[in-house]
Amino acid sequence: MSAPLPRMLLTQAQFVLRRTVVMVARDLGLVDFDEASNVGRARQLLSAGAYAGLVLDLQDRSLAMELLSDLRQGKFACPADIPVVVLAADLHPEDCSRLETLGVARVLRKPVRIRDLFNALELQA
Amino acid sequence: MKPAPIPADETDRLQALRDLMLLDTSPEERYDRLARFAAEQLDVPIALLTLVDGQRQWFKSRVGLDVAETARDISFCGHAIMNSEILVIEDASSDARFSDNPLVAGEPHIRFYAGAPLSAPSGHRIGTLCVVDTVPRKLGAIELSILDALRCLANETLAGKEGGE
Repeated sequence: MSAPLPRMLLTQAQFVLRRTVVMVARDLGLVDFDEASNVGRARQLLSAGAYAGLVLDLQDRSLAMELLSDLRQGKFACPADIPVVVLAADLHPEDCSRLETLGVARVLRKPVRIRDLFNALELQA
Repeated sequence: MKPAPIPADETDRLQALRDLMLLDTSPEERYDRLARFAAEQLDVPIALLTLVDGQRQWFKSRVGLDVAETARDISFCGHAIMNSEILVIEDASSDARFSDNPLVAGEPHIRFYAGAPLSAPSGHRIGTLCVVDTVPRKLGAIELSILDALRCLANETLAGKEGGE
């Protein structure tokens, strides 16, 4: 019997990207992603379950930053220091310093390649 | 060149295709987004959602190609629908089935092809989601899995079960 896959949360509004990432990660035996199409849903899932990592789209910038801050303060069910990869179409200098302060492991510019996302999560296909 | 074969279930397959009422319809975002995403993720200049009709393959969605259809006998997708697995031709110029194909010898000068057969709700293979390049290519495990996942999303869309943003 194989070990369970690491469980991560993917927060992404774009349907095709979100669904494809989830299906490919499962198909290749890399990650079992739970998926949230918005930050509000991500908050619900983070409050209820333990995750080994978070992929967060910065589209809803202020809500996403607030979620990250709460995560690092240990306000959710998972450890406060889980790795976080952020997806962003554009970044202001103040965003970069804030993300660094919040301990974001990697920032990927959109459009995001799924291969690059898996590399950022240090997943080997 | 080996002309695209005709499946044993051709009559029922064509009926399943026509029941979808997609042939010669206008472009639709719910299909176009899949072709765009395939081109972007697999880094290819051409991505198509094709429907294999009796004498032609018609493109419901197309990225990087100006023509709306080609003859079925010279189509790569006509070969791809013969099996359920993804058909990958890494270099058409060295494949006896395709090396003198007009789509290889002339425009759009296909060298690489990967096509994931699409199924109607009845199960009949009615077309493909395919990617094409003008240089030889190999696909890794991630890229093959992406194409397979997009095929699943396309099949859900064909069945009217697609999700929104």
